[in-house]
Amino acid sequence: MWSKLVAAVLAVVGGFAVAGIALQRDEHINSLWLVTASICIYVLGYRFYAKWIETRVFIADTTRATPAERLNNGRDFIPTHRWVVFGHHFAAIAGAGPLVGPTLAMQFGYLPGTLWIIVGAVLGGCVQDMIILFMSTRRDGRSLGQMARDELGRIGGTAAVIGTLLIVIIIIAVLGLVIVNAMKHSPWATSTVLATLPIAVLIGFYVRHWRPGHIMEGSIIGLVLILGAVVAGGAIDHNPALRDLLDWDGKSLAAFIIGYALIAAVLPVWVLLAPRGYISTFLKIAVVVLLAVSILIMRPEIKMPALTQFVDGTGPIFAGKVFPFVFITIACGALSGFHALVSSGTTPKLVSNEGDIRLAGYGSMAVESFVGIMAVIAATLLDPGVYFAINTGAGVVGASAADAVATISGWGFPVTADQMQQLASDMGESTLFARTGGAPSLAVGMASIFGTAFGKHLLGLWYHFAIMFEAVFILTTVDAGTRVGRFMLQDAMGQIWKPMGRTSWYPSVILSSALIVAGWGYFLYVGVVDPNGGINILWPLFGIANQMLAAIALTVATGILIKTGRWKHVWVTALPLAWIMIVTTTAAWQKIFSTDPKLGFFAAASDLAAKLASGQLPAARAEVAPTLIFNQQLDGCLTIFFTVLMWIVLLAMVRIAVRQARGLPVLPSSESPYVPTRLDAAALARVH
Amino acid sequence: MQQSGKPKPAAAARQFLSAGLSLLRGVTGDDAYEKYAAHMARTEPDTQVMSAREFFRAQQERQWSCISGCC
Repeated sequence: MWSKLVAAVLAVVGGFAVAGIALQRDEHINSLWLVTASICIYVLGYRFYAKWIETRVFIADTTRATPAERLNNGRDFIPTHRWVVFGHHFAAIAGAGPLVGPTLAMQFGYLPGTLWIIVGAVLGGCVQDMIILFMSTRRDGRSLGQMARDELGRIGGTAAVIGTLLIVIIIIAVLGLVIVNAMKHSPWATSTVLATLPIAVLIGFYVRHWRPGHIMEGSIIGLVLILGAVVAGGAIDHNPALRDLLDWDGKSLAAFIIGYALIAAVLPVWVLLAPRGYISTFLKIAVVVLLAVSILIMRPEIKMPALTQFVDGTGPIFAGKVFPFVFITIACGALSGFHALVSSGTTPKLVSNEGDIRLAGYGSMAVESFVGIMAVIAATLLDPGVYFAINTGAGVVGASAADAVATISGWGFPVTADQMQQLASDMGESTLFARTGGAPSLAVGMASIFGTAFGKHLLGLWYHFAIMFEAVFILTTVDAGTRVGRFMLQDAMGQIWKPMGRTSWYPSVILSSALIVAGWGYFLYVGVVDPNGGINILWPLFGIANQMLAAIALTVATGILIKTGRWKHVWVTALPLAWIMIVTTTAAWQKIFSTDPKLGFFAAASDLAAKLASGQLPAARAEVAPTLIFNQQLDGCLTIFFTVLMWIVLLAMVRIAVRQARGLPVLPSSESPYVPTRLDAAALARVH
Repeated sequence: MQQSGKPKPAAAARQFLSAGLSLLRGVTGDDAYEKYAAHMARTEPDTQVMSAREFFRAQQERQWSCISGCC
């Protein structure tokens, strides 16, 4: 009775807030509307939709022993308290994705992105994460690739593995580009990021040699040291000699990150990757809480209009109409295929009871989605003119400040060179024009939020704190991703020549690491030399890749529902699957076939080739043109490949569905047999 | 000292904090060795268990070789 009353109140408040957001046509709307609407809807989704899926679609069985119990080895399979599983899972899925995508998508105005983040999460992303976690838990914690092979056959399995490897490469490249653009000509940011390396090594020693296993202690010390490095970066910024030393351009930064990753991939994990991972988990939780509290204290006005003229596809940050591109740009935060890898990785080996899956799977994704909403708020509380000035590449608005402000003001978003200069100097940067990639504009937004809540004189500090925060995430992804890519590649090469599959054989380690780094390093380099900032090309490619993986995950889930005879409820995954197939295929179609050089990869390549041939390009651009032409063609081919891969997996599933419907034999279910649990849920809650 | 008869907010707060701390230790992995040692004592009391140091090394290697931290 009581919970129904609370739910009714939430429904009324949430509905009111959504209506408020959708119908507001005044100048400004308060960000509290977004916070209220999203939280009410997450709670309702969790309380009712997720509960319904749990009891009616999965038919979660709390008497059934999970792999953590059956295969308990005290190491990776281990029954764990539900809130600890939630914490683990959230830390593993959360990264820079939900901060960057929503920031970029605000070129359409705040409304499309916000609605997609909320609705996409509640009906798509959270459902995907929870269902894959459930299915993997029923299958001894098997990975998405293995489940695809077991349930859909060899083709589906191979496609899922290839898709995963490619998406890892593209994620690293695009996030590397984000961080290069944030560190470019910023001695403060560069010094802070460099300082995180020795700090990580120090903490690595601490938790391995001096105080083995005292991760929390080590993380807190590391956190304090990193905060010290952010403050010290301010002093370095004021020292002319050090300033010059650390003022790096894009190419040097890209070379640095590539070299660094090559070394980090070969080093043991305890040196850099693990300790920085610990610190980043702490930072993540602290920043999410800090941001939420600051938004509640400050309640900033949203200055971005609900919709901008760029919904028609003429947007400066990336090309393409609001449909389908808002759904491609915002992957993490709404529906992200990447999460399916985590949901079928470590987490299913920890779940102690099927009744805990809703919290870890659906709950973690709802929090991640809320992080996306906070990124929306941080981007839209800026004056729209400022937002566009930071996020638009020099190739679009012109290299000089005067050109840029004239172009952007001409779009109806007034901004002045003085305003940008003042903002840059407040933030301790030399310029904020054309700092594409989303990180700098997010950092300005976060600094404004923190600055208003905790004191304005510290803006520069907050800005660089935010940049450091993103850099720590991203470098962890670069390291971990390169490593995972290396393992996958070694596994694949081992099929051809046995010794290559040995993960500790140095020639194989070095060769496979170098191949993975070369793969993403190439895209990173091209992004850096691209006068339009590179993000406008690479982010849509990343979005298509990530949504392709989501489509594969939802296909596997739909296939399993069909094979287990749950036709009546198959829409739970089939609906988000249909939507993401439509969105991804439409976006891919446009990126491949559009004749608009801003939108189509091949159109852009031939446009640039024509300009190069007729000598229209200035010398600096002509020099990089051949690289850009090749890259656009490569991106076009990759898009074709991703789309074909996605449809192959779908057809494999449809074939099985048809056979199932006709009563023909299909691959047997790979679900593990029922074993009753002997765990006492109450005792587990007490002990762990 | 607590006065008898009244509810004990200090004790309740302490209990709340210690529960929170134990959850946090679970998330960070600080309690991994304790769990492992308890598991081994329960299931294979005759087997030699790894030392805290050995266990932690193996654990770290395993944990950071999987996919995490993108989105």
